[in-house]
Amino acid sequence: MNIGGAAPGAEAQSAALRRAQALLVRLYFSDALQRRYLADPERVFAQLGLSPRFRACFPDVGSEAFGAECRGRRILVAREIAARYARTFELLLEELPEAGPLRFNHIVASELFCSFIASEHFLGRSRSLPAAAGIGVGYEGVSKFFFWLDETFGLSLPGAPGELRIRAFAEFGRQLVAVSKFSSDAFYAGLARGAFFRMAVEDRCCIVITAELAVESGVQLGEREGLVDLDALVASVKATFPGGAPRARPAAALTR
Amino acid sequence: MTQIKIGARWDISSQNPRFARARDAGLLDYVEVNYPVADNHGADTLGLPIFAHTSNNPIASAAGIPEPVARAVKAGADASDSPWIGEHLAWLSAEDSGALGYVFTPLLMEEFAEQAAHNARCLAAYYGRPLALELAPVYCPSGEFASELHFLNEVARRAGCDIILDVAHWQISNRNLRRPADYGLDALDAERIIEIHVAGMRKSAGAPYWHDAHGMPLNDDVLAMARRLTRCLPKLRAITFEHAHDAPEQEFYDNLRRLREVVS
Repeated sequence: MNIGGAAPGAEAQSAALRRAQALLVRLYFSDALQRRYLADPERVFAQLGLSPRFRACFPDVGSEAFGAECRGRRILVAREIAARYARTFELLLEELPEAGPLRFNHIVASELFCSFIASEHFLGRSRSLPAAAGIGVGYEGVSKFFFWLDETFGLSLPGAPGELRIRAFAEFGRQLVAVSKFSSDAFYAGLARGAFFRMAVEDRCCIVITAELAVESGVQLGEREGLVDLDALVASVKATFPGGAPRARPAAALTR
Repeated sequence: MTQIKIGARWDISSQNPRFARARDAGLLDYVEVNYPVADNHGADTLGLPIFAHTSNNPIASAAGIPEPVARAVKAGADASDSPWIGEHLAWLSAEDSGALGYVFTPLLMEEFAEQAAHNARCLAAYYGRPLALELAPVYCPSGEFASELHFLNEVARRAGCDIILDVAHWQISNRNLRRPADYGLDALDAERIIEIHVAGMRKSAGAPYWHDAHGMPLNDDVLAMARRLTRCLPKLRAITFEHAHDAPEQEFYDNLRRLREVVS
């Protein structure tokens, strides 16, 4: 239950405000929605049941200024996830600069990143893990990006691209173990001792993320006790997503 | 005029050593904790008053404010007996909860002004403490109000809230919208401005737009405006320096010293 929100008797107006809010926020991140909007803004507002007054109050989405704000926001998101998925990005993006603004610019300009920030994984709140501070889901981009990678590339399915699965799971796992050191959310409690995942979906050979955040490969299932099974954890979390556990699908291919 | 206190924004426990050194050097009067934080944060061990602040409540959201965030902020504010709670007159996402990396300035429409005022009144009642509202930087004009500052003042007036004037955000907006540096100050009830924020700002590479940049030092324009505000705002009580936790430590101390010179 949210504090404030629709005042009594103003539910219809509140619903319109929510649609207007959602439209503007999504326009900052979705290039496809921007194109659709710029081609025929009146149609977009009509489809959402928003009056011409909303149209008149929106910023100029086609302006350089709006573009500058979009870019600034996207760079912030890129900084957050690039720091945690450095090796994953090196595999996914060609000619990725080593560090600094050039690296973020390269990520922001990539089809991969643009696809992520336009997705429901990013724009929604349900396909993510609880925030470390115990305030619920949908507040950070690191887990959103992992679950988007997992679904887009089929990382949890037989035949998943091997090196991508290893890098993404390892970096995601390190993030979870690191967060467990200071989080107040019960979700992370068991991760403080470390985690493991299978090198391939049906493999008995595992990679371990230790409590000290070291990554050790070639460990056999059963050799390390007390660690969280990351494959099982990911599956159980995805079962709570809208639509439940995803159906088996081939890994999508995105151009690098 | 009440003595103006100087503080700094606190986000993460790795800042504790530099905050302790700044305290020992007489550079800090308070810590502004950006809630929610981890339970074992340690800001409360610094021996300085804590002012509660958050950028995680969407005051202007049509969906209202998620209770888990407000609960965490209230707990922090109650533990430190914060004199007020700083909030953002903003949206955070397209959904009923969650966030997308940085606050969004809402559509400057009458309906969103009333929505924000309603949310702020409800939140202040929930907290049992006064709110002080601040704006995010603006890049494009929108809506029906003369400016985002007129919108802020109208919401504050309707909700009975105070105002935090974020000088960096304000200067960024004025530059981005090609307005004079002091544009909008006369749109705000001077008596509502109880706190100002100061921070670095950066310009886009190859484009005439400015952005919030807590990793950068204070520029002369922000400092000059802060000096001016200390002399013209009758109820100003606090100036908070917002500096990224991983920005150069010496810069933290140097900028706090410059702020003290401004206020003196």
